[in-house]
This record gives sequence, C-alpha cells and structure tokens, in this order.
Amino acid sequence: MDFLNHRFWRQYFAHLIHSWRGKVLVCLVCFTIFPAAAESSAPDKQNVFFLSGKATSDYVEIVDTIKSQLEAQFPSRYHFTEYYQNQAVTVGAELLDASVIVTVGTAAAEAAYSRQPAVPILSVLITESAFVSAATKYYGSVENAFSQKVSAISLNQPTLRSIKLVKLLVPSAETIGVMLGPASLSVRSDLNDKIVEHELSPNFVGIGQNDNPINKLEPVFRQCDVFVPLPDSRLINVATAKWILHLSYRYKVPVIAFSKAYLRAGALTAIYSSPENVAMQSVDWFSGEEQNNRSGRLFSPTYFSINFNYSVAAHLGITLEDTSFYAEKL
Amino acid sequence: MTPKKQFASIHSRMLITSLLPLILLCAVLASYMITEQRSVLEGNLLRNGVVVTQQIAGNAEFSMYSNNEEALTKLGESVLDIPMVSGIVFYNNSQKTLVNVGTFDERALDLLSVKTPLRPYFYDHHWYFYADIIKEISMVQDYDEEALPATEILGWFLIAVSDEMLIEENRNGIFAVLVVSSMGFLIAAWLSMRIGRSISKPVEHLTEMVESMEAGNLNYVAEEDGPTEIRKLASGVNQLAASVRQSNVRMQSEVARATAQLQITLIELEDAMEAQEQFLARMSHELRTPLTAVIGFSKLIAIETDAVKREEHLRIVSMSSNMLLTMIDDILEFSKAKVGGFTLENIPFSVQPWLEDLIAIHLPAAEKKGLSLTFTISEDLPAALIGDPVRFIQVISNLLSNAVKFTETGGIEVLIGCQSIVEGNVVLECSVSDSGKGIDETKIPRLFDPFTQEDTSINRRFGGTGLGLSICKSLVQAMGGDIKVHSEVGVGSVFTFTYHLRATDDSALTGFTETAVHKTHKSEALEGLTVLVAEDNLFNQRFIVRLLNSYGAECLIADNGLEAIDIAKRLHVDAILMDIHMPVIDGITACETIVQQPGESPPIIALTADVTLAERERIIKAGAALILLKPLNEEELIEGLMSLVTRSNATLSFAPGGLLSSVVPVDELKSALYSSLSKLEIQLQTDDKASLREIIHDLLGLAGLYGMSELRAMVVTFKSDYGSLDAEANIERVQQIRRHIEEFLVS
Repeated sequence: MDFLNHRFWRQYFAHLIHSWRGKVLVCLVCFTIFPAAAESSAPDKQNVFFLSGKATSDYVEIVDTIKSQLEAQFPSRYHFTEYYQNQAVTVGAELLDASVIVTVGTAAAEAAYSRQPAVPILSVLITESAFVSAATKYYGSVENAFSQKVSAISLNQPTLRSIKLVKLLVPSAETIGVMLGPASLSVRSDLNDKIVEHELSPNFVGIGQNDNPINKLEPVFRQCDVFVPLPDSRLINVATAKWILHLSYRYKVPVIAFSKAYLRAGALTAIYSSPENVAMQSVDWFSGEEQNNRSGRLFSPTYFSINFNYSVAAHLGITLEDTSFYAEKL
Repeated sequence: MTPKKQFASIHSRMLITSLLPLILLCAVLASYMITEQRSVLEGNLLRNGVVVTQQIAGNAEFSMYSNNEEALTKLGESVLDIPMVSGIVFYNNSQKTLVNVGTFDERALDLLSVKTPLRPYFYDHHWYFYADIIKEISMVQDYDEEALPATEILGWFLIAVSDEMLIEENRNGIFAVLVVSSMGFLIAAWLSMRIGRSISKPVEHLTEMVESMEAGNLNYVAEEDGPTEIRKLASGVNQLAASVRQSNVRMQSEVARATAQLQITLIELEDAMEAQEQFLARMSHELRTPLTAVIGFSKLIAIETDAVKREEHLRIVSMSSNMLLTMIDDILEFSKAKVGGFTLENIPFSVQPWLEDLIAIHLPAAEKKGLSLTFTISEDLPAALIGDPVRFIQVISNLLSNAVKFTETGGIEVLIGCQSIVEGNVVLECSVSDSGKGIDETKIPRLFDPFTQEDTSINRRFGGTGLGLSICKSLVQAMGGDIKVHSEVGVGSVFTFTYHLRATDDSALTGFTETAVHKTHKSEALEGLTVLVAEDNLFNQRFIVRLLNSYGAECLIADNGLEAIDIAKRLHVDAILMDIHMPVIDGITACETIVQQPGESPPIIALTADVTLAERERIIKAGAALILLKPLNEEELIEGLMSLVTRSNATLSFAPGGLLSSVVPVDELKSALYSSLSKLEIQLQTDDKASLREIIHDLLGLAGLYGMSELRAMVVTFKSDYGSLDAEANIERVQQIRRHIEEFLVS
C-alpha cells in the first residue's frame, strides 16, 4: 500500500510544498500555530477556584476582596474560577483543573473535601469545630487533611482576647463565668490558667446536648460578674444563647460574645471576624503558600473586629470607649 | 281644640316635619352607635385578649422551660391585675395542669376540642384565649448556612377574660348616647320651635291683621319681619290694606257727600213737610174761620128782626163765602197745577176791560186802607190779543190782592206793557208795584214755593193759603212767561211777569161773569131727652148745656169720670156726652165702667181733641158709640144724639146764628180764657207740671170748642215747647197767646 510507504509521504509533501496549495496550507498552519506557540511559551497562571456556599453579601465580599488583593499583589499570577451556592456543592471534575481551592463557608468546605483534590485547599468562614468535623469525616482525621494540604482559617477568636477585653470593660470584675460545650471542653484547663493569670476567678459551666441550659446557667449567672460563652457546636450555641442573654438581662451580667449576631441579640460586646478580616488573612495565606509549599494547618484568626451594644451597656451602667481603643489594647 | 286642628297649624306641622325625621335619625344613629360601640368594645376586648395572650406566651416561655411554677403563678397573678382577666391556667406539654390562678370554669376546656391558638372562645360571659408556650430559637452565629432548628412547644395556657366590663362600658355608652340624643333632640326641638314660631308668628300676625281689616280696622299695619317670603307677604298685605284704606276713604267721602246731599234733601223734605203741615193747619183755620162766620151769621140772620143788621149779616156771610170760595179755588188751582198744569184757552180779548173790572174789585179794599190803586196800559199794546184772559187776570188779581194786603200806606200801580211784538207774537210784560213793607232778600228765593209765606206772622195777620204766588208762577210758566220780584224792605215790591200770546184784529171781547153760591140750613129740637154731660171744664159744661137746652134736651152735669159713673148708675139718662180727658177718672175708664154696669147702658158720645188712630181705638174699645172731635160741630152733635137715642135719621134744622152767639156769651169766653192764662202764668212760676198740663188741656178745650184754630195751634206748640224753654221765654209765649186772644176777641 503506497500510502503506508514512507517514500510516498516524502514525495507527497515535496509536491505539496512546491504547489500553490501547499504554500497556502503552510501559511495557514503557520498562522495557527504561532500564537498558540507564543502563549504556550509564556509562564503558566495558577487557577484559583473559589467555592462559596452562599451568594450573600458577606460571602461575595470575601471572594471579591481576595481576588482584588491577589491581583494587586501578584499581577498575571492567578486566574480565578468562582462557584456559588449549588454550583459549589455539586462541583465535580472542575476542581481537577484548579491550582488552589478556596472554600467559603462550611458547606463549600465539605463539598471540596468530599472530592479530595490534590491541590491546596484553604477553608474560610468555618468554625473550628466545623472544620474538625468535616476533616475527620472526609480525610479520616485532621492530620490527614493537613497532609493533603488542607488549611482553614477559623472563625473562633482566641479566648485570651475575650479575657483581656473583660478586664478592659469591667475592671472591677472578679469572677468570670465561662460556658463550655462538648467541642470546647478540652480547652478548660488551659483557659483556667489564662483566666487566673489575669486575676480573675473562673466559673465554668459545661452544657451537654441533653442538659437544661437554664438549670445549669442560672447558678453561674448568680455568682459571676462577666460571662463568656465559648463558641461550640451549632446545636449548643443555638440552645444556650437565648437563655444566656435572658439570664444576662435578669442578673445584669455582661456577656462577651463571639459573633455579631450574638451582639445584636443582647450581648454587651462581641469579638468576631468580619468578611474583611477573613479576606485579609486569606491573602496572607496566599503569600505564605507561594514561598513554601508546606502541608495544611488550622489558623486562628489574625485579624478581628470589636463592636458594642450600647443599649445593653447603658442598661448595665458600663461606660465604653471607642472601639479602636479596645482593638489597639488587644 | 281637636288633635286634627291642633296639628293643622304651620307651627305644629313644622315641628312635626323637623322632629319626626330627627327622632328617626336619632334612633337610627343611637342604635348604630350602640351597636358600633359594642362592636368596637368587643373588638378591643378581643384584641387586648390576643395581645395579653401573646405577651403571656412570651413571658411564660422561660418559666415553663425552667419548670418554675412559682414564676408562672406570679405571672398569672400579674395577669389578673388586668381588670378584664378573671383567670388563667397553665398546662405543660404533657397536658398536666401546672398553675391555676383566679376563677376559671373548667367546663370551658370542652371548647378546646380543636385548639386554634389566639382564637377567642365565648362561654358564659367569658372569652377564653388559648396559646402554646413555644421555646423560641435565637440565631447567634455569623455566617450560618443551616436552617433554624424546629421550635419546641413547652406547654400551653388558657386565659379567661370577662365581658362584664364590656357590658358596663356598653351601658355607659348607651347612657351617653341617650343623653346626647336627648340633648340633641331638645336642642333641635327648641330650634325647630323658634324657627317655626318665627314663621308662624308673622303669619298669625298677618291673619289677625286680615281679620282686623275684615272687622273694619284698616289702620292696622303688619310688621315686615321674619323670613323673606313672610316679609313680602306682609308688605303685600300692607299695600292691600293701604289700597283698601284709600278706597274706604274715597267711599266714605262719597258716602259723606251723598249723606250730605240726602240731609239737604231731607231738610228740604222736612221743610216741605213742615210747610205742608203749616199749610194744612192754616187751611183748617182759614177755612173754618169764614165758615164759622157763615154758620154763625146765618143763624143770626134767622133770628134777627132788624133789617139793617140782617143785611149786614148777609154781607158778612157773602164775604166769608167768597173767601171760602177763593181759598177752595186756590187749592184747586194748585192741585191742578201739580197734576198736570193748566189748560189755557185761546180766545180773543182786550186787556183794558178785564183790567178795569179787576181794579174795581180791589179798589174798595185799597180805598179802605187809604191806598191809591192805579193802572197803566202801554199804548203799543195791541187792542186785541188771543190768549186766556181769565188766567191772565187771575195772576194780576193774585199779585194785586197781595199788594193791597201788605201795603199800609202809599199806593199800588199796575203796569201792562208790550215787551216785544214780532210777527204777531206778543210778549206782554205786566208789573204790580206797591209801597208796602217789602220782602226780606233772604225770603225771595222761596217766595214762589207752595205753602210758603215770608213768615208765619203774615198768615196770622193777613191770612191766605200761601199758594197764591205759587199758583201765579205755575200760570205764568203755563203761559210761556216768567215771573220775578224785586223788593226792598221798607220801600216796596215790584212783581213782574211776561205772557206770550198773539195779536189779533178781532175785537170780540169777553168780560167777567159773576156767579153766586147759595146755601141753605135747617134744624130741629131734642125734646124730652135727658143727657149726662161729663165735662171737667166749666165753660164747656155751660156751652154744651146751653146748646142742648136750646134743642129742648135736659142735662145732668158731672165734673169728672167718677161722678159720671155715679150719676149713670143712679139716674136714668138717654145719652152721655163724655169728655175723655177728665180728673179723678178719665173718660175712657168711665166709659168702660158704665158699659159694664148691669142693664142697658145709655149710648155714649166721646168728646176729644185727640185725633190719633190709637186714641180712637181705645175709645171705641171702651164702649163709646160715637166720637166727636173738638171743636164741636153742632149739627154733628145734634144728629149724633138723635141717631143714637131715637135710632132715626131725622133731618135737623139748625137755627141761624152760631154756637158762640147762641150759647156762649163772649164775655164768659173771654173770662174763661183769661182765667186759664192767669193760672198758666202762675203755674209756670211754680213749675207744677201736672197743673200746667191741666191748664193747657183747658185752653185746648176752649180753643177747640170755639174753633180758635190758631189759638189751638199756639197752645199745642207751647205744650210741646214749654219744657225746653226757660221761664222768660215761656212767659213771652203766654203773652203772645194772650195778645192773640185779645186780637181774636176784638175781631
């Protein structure tokens, strides 16, 4: 068979090159191949894949802030892909093309973890307990998740900030009530030391899922000067918040809360991570990740926000300074 | 006033029209407001109940979750502080009653077969509200992606709300509505009454005005106030009243003018009637006077033996007869003129002979008074004329007679002239001028009216009918002429008249022809009769007695009615002459008594001067057989007596002579008259009315008896006037009567 003959092909190509058809074909191939070649010849951009569990303003603000900051700091280094809500939850093979995956929210983190991609994952807007739960569920353990380059920036502010804030807001406070749930029970001893270091007497109360919160909380509120509920599982947080605030009102005990929603519900103050705080720490993570391709880890929030419920403060007779004052002190 | 009439007025109708809808409106509004208020109150109650229930549900959450019954009890008690809440019951989610506060009817639980939260149930004056106590979930996590966990029902409660307050407030509302409605009704009624009155009052005022106008009061002026329509109506009525007032004034003016005209006519009529009465009185006198002379002198002639005296008596009789004839002629002439005028003859005559005869007739009378009587006939007067010489001479004769009568000195001249002669038509102008006393200028316009003389004294002094000049005027008008008079008091009078007639060449002349009327008299005696003369006047007694004696009758005398009754009872009399006006018992009573006595009563002849019909009826009813009027007529008296006594119509032959001369001496009459006058003068001073009437009655009797008609007229006038005159005037009247008697007796 001639067309399978090597010689045939040499003669054909020689003939084609010398004919006008051959010349046109050569031109077309050149025009097609050169740009692609030019592009392929440029350094490769990393694909940052954003998975957001919700499309609310906070989530969108975080994504947009991270994008804009990265573009500003590292021009032409990244290109971005964004999946919101159901797209994020049902995402599949698309993740394989990503260079870095950023999950926003617990649901998005679980969706990404379930695919176990071989690229670094940064989870934001997730509590420590939620991260632990999801990492354990999809990677077997938190350490396994770290080994698979899974990192997270926790929403749980360091307890020490709250203790310091207690001293700033209520200098006369002697006893501090602290609520611990199943997820936060492990920090009790460490926390006790820190409290004592700050010349306060701790009064811990542990709330289980089957406990009557009132029966447990009310004796503590009778004795403490300030109450700090530590963030725990969602179930514990929801089940206790109402009664904590109710007892706070009844016994006039200020509550140092961990979220802005808690603050609105009746706490005196809250130390929490705003979308901007989260975005800033995320950008920091990208900078660090660029330099060393290390394994994943759980980051405490570097940045934080403080806010007050002035109505509650007035009810409690507490005089407040400007928030910047406290932020600086902390 | 019946209810129908009561509601017929504008005021009532307006009241009804305004108040009836108002009452209905008030009733509708009141019921609406009460219903609406109840609805609002009930709505408020239910809303409050729902709010309270919601609040309790929220507040009970903590206590229920902490199973704090003490807190629930406190909550329930605090709820009971709300007045309308009567009880509350809390149940846990195992349907176990935890707390029961207040009064609560357990039977109300039966209503909750299907529990509908916050839906009110009503049972026995209570509303029941049911609600679950739910454990609410507070979201305190930022960036939470999960839905909120389901809420948990901790228990439930039932709250009882009483409707007593609602009912009480509803009652208060009803009371307020009723009070406001009543006040509104009263205010509306008051306003309606005021408005109605403001309309009806002017209308009533106008009605009163119209009624007042209807009653004749046209000076009523309606007040122009109230509503515009009423003001217009009042204005219209006022204009109408003004128009009627003007019309009334015009009518009153017309009526006043017509009344004045009627009064003038009435006065004229009364004057005419008075003149006629005076004429009749004068006629009576004038006719009776010569007649008396004729009768009296005729009797004297019969018994007079002296030839000279008989001739003198005959002359008087003749003169008196002529006077009577003249008067009768005058009356006839006047009557003729009244009924259709005169029928004038057209015969040829010559004025001169007729005039000469006339002058001859009147010349003796003129000469007797020392008057000259001349006549002149104009030369241009045709010798022969065609006309009625009798009527022509009659006019001149009347004028001449008056001239002689009213002229005392100087003379009388008759002038016949020719005013015009045109183609044989002659206008004769005749005048009779005298130098008499003249006529007052004011009397001249009525001088030619019938029954009119210058004054009554003329008649008294000169006699006459008063018809002469009226007849002259009628005659002259019949002759186509005119009569007028020019007179000056104290100088004399000139009567001038014209006569239209034709001239002729014939000389067939005619003259006067005298005729004489002869009358005869006869008499008979009353032999053997006894007559009772009941007469209170002594003179009359003597006159009648002598008269009857002269006819052979015997007389019995009674001074009054009582004596007459007594004599008639005791003695036999053939007839009674009964004076009606007598003392003690009057003639009518005496007649009745005598007639009613047993046995046959004698015939009674009543003597009276009263000629009224009523008096006559009374007398006849009393039993008188015959009524004779004073002055007594001898013939009527004698014939009456004979006819009554003998029942025969024997022809009487009366002796010549007269009553006076035959039976009553003049001296006695004079004495009687003067005696009465003296008594009259005395009684006038004492003003004894009864005596005055008696004396006047005597005088009237004497005047009537003697035929002194003028005296009688004077006494009658005095009788009617003396009460209204003062004493001096009455004395003057009596003096006049006295002078008249003296003149009469002298004549």
